[in-house]
Amino acid sequence: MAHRKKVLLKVIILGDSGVGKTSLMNQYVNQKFSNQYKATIGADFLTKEITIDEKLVTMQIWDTAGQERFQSLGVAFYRGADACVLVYDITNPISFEKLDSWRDEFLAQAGPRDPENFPFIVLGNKVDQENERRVPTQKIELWCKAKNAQQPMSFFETSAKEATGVEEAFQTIAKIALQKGQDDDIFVPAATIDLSGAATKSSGGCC
Amino acid sequence: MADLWINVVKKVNFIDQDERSKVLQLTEPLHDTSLRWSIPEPVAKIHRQVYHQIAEPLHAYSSLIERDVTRTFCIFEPPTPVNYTEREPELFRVLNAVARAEDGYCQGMNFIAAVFLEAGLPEEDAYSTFVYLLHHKYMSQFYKDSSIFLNEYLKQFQARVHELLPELAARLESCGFEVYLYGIEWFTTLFSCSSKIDLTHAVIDLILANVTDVMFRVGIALLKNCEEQLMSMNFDDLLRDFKVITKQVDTYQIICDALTIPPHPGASSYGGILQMTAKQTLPQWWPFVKRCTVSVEWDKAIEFGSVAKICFLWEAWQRTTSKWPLDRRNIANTVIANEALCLAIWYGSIAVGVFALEMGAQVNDPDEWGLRPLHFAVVRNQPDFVRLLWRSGADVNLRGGNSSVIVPQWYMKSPVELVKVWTLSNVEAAEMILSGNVCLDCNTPFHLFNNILKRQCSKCKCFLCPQRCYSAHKCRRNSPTHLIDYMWLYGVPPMAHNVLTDDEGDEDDCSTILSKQRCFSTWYCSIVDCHAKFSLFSKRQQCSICTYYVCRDHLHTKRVQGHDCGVCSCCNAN
Repeated sequence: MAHRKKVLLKVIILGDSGVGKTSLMNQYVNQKFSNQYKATIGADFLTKEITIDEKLVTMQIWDTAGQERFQSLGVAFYRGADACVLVYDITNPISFEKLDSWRDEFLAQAGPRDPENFPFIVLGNKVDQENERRVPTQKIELWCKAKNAQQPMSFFETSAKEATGVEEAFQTIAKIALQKGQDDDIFVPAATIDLSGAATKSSGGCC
Repeated sequence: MADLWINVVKKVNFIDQDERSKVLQLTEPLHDTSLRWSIPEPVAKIHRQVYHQIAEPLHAYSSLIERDVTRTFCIFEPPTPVNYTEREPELFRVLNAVARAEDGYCQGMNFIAAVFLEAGLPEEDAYSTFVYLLHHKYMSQFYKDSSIFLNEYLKQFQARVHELLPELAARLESCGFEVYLYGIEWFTTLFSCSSKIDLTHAVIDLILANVTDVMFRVGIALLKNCEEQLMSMNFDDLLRDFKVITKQVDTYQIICDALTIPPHPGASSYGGILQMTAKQTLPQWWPFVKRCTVSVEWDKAIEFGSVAKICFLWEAWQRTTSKWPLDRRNIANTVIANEALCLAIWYGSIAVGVFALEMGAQVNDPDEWGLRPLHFAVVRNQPDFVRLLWRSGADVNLRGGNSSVIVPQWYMKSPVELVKVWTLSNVEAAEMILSGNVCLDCNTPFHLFNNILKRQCSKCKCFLCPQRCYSAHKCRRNSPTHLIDYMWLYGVPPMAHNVLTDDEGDEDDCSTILSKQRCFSTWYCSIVDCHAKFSLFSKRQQCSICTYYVCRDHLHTKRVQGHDCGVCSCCNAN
């Protein structure tokens, strides 16, 4: 993977309705925040090109609807994802409790080859409302450890409003996803896996 | 908007003349210019009143709605003349009411409600029009918990795109750009998030004008209009630009194209593909489903048969309507009494049913589907209610089902016909009465001999035994409601004439427990198991303690205060 080849990462953002998924995506991609985002129906998409370890990476970010009843249609969105961002709202404990079901649902529907080590990252959004916090940091730490003791998921506390932690969080998930792709290259016979697989798959007949 | 339709009628070469006349109606100037849309009167009449009953009280979905209310009006592009923050409480109330009536809330609804409000509809009309689309145009299926319907609908859409735009379909498929990526948003928001707002307006116009398969055809026309651009794009471009491109298409062009696209050949002319798909997901009993037209508090009170609570709620409702003009207040009171009656029938709360009638519920009033209280009494197998309604002047031969609103199907029957063909649940008890197998008054079964001698009232068509009941029968048909002696119908409330006014302090507890478990009836055994079997066709016995009526099998002899008394199984056990 040393040669400069266009790499595409498909990143899915999941989490309860109103936790700030759309705001996070827009803050990361456009460095803008607005109170005026409409509720997402189905899914929205943005792409951002970044350089990681001298590699040009296109991040294709999929912002999904938080309404649970759209979950069962998620297959179309989750398929071929390289990484998944789970978002909760630190002022809303229910959105934290629902992380489990979002994670399980994603793994069930996306069906990644190696679910144990699939790149997840957890974001506790809205830290600008610190005085209304109702999910303590220790809780999320424990949760991340409980999911995978050897390699706990990374988590960030972010504020889409004040751009706190957003850049780092997305950089991290991109790195983890890339790393994971390379690991797969090593351990799986080369003929069956190609990091840019997602790109060739999804861009289909165009190239 | 009439201009758009005038141009459309001039331009489009309609396949179907019937459809042309429907669109032609849209070119006529509106009767009431303040109302952008109007819906059939039976639905509007009920729901305009119901709105004031359910818009304010909070329920399980209110917090979800609150979250979306602030993220809705932003779909209307600037310049925005109105300050939308001020309109958010309106949107909340409308959605709160819709969620109550639907018993559920799903994102997407918020945008449609906002479109109605933004177009200038008053709150109650925004609510009624939305409910009309949900109930009578099958849109409610889009928002159900399981996405089975939505999924099926999208698949059908994809198949139709393949048929009509094969090249584009093949192209999108090879890119992996599936219908889910745009279709969910299109159909659950009536295109309001994905196109110019006047397209949504036109779509609503067409749906309300009963044009078939509007959403499908508009969707395909939308794709057709962008086909050239979309063909040259790869997956990344599509992800980035698809929504931008579809938003720019000219409304007039889409509508003209949509009307030249034939409706789905396999779908019925009535509800089109929506109705066809909904058949698979609608509840089996539909439209005999529990009505959610009163607040949760009312619902609970009716379920428990608490007349005292209903009395209290009714008074509160009176205060709400007291400032309204008299004629409007009368309509509102009748509508709410009717809804309470319907729900009382659903739960079998006879006492609340009587109360509703006293408050002015009309026994022959149709609901939004044209179904009447007796229809519900039949499918819920409520013999008490069949009797109560029949004796209060309900017409057992009146057909239900309003053909302008629902498809003529097997439920377009009179109660007498319905009880014979209903197969989804046991309606034996209701049938006994409606078919005239027992005397309506004294409950005597008509066996061989009696059956020949039984008499039928010429006005209300009820069957009575030839002896006492027929001569005593005072027909209530056509008589004003307030003249009916309801006490006779449902008996004196049990505790009011307790013959044994003993001084034990637990009397109150006893009565509350009893009223929850048992139905007080003068016609047959009030013991729950027995009641359900409708077994008391013989002489009734009264319990000396609780004064409920029971059959001989459930009467026991007990020594109370030095006397041998007949007591029911319930009191005997205590």
